[in-house]
Amino acid sequence: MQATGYLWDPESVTEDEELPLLRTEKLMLNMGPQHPATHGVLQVILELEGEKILKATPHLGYLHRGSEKIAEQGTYTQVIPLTDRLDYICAMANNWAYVRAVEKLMGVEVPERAEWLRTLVAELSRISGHLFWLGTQALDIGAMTVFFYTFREREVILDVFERLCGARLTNSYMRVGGVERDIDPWCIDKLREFLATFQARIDEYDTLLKENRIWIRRTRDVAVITAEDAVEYSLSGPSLRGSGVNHDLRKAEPYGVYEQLDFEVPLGKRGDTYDRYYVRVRELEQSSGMVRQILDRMPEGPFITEDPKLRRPDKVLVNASMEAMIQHFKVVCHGFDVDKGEVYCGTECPKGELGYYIVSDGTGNPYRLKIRAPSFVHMGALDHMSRGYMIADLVTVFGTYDIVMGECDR
Amino acid sequence: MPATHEGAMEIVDKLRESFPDHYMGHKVFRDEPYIGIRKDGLREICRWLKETPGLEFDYPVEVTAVDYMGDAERFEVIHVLWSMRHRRRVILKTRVSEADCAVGTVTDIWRGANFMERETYDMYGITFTGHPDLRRIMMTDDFEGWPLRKDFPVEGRGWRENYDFLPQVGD
Repeated sequence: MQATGYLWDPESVTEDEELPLLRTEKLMLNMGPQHPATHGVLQVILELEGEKILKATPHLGYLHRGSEKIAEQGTYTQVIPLTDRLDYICAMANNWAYVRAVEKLMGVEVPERAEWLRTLVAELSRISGHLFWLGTQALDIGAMTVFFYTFREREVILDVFERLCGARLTNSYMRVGGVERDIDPWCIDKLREFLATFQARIDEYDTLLKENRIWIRRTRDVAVITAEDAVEYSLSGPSLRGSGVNHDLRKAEPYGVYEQLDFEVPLGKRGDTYDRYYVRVRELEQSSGMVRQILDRMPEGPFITEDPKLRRPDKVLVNASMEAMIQHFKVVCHGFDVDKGEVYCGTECPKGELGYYIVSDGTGNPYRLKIRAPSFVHMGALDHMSRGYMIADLVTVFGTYDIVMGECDR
Repeated sequence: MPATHEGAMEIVDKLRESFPDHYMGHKVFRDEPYIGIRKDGLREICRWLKETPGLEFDYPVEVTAVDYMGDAERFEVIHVLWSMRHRRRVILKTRVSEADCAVGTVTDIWRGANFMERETYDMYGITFTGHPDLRRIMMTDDFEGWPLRKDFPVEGRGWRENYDFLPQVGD
């Protein structure tokens, strides 16, 4: 008999004869918490029928560090380094989201140049985050080459960040009222050099992926989510825009200097993994265009507010004058008091809407700080988006959210 | 359409007219309305906010809570909602007492609220009545206590002292 893959010979079965009863049962499979493609420590319990996913239950919390509880103990400035460790791929954007929330609560005026600098580093971190995503998503799906190319470009941005604030990943560059220090000409030259070749680099990634048949088959019509579902599941950022929903807080509630910049919000159509890939790559182009505009138009001026309650005095002054030294100690040890009140402030980070809900009781430390992390919210849609797909597609599904467990678990 | 004070007051007025029994007070801060409501009306108001033409708050941004220890109604459950069409935000605040620590779920209104409510339950012990899968999400299933309550100690509960093979504080 020819091997047909059947468990019995189909031709020997006549209509009268009953088929041998095959026992079918659902299979429970544990994936993670240690898994090379989970971008951190994530456990998913899968309910399978053969290779088809019937249900995916994510178990979170392996990276839970209690950032929100820790934040209640420290001053408002001491929270800034905690925000670095949420989404450690693009820490600058997290810093900004946090200081924006505090500034919204306090009503602080930020100097012009600081806003431009913030927008610059936020867009740079968007580029670096999307490059990281592109490399790792391709790596997860099986296209290893892209990873090496994107990390080559990402390195330039990290070098600029290192020069700018002394750290490559955990930047802590933002301060309430401005930024920590000014940009120097070396960084600007480096960035111009980077921009000169970056469009060609994006084209290079496109040649590797855009029309790659394997890539298309692994991403086209995988993890499809309709626009209505995406909104109801509270997806944000490129994950939402891939479904064609035009929602971007940079346009909806312009902050920083986005109102003065010329940029578009790329949208997908089908809401599948390929469209989200497409949206992110086009965002790379938009962001690099914004960086170019900022470098051309950034005005001169102070980079942090003059308010002595918020900023540390110059180090030269601290060594020379008693008052400056007192101010220095006051700002570092006590921080600043925030009037009683509460505020929600959302910011468009590379992964989606990163929001902070801050409740102040009038003292120098936050009474309650809630972090609305896009990765956590996206995990809520994992079950919905992975049902009916193959087990091999699950890696694609959480890759497509651009998930970082540090942010998901906080 | 950027948020304006008038836009915020419009939402507040509509809500006050439609739900005079459930409305408790409001505050407009940075042109965004923060509305206090009674917890009995929460689900009804959420559904109304989502379905009423002109409001259409179709995007659940956040569900969280704050612990005001010492108050008669100790917890405040907060719902942050966003309207995609009208591009504005509303924040609902509901008070819950410690003795009757439960509030209606909004998971059937916005499915995305599922994980947010689970997190709030995990951190504060507030039950969301009607939630399909109310389990701990960050902490392990056998964890005791509610970590973000103000009476939960930052330094742990002396569990380290229970294990004599571990180095102790002061050794």
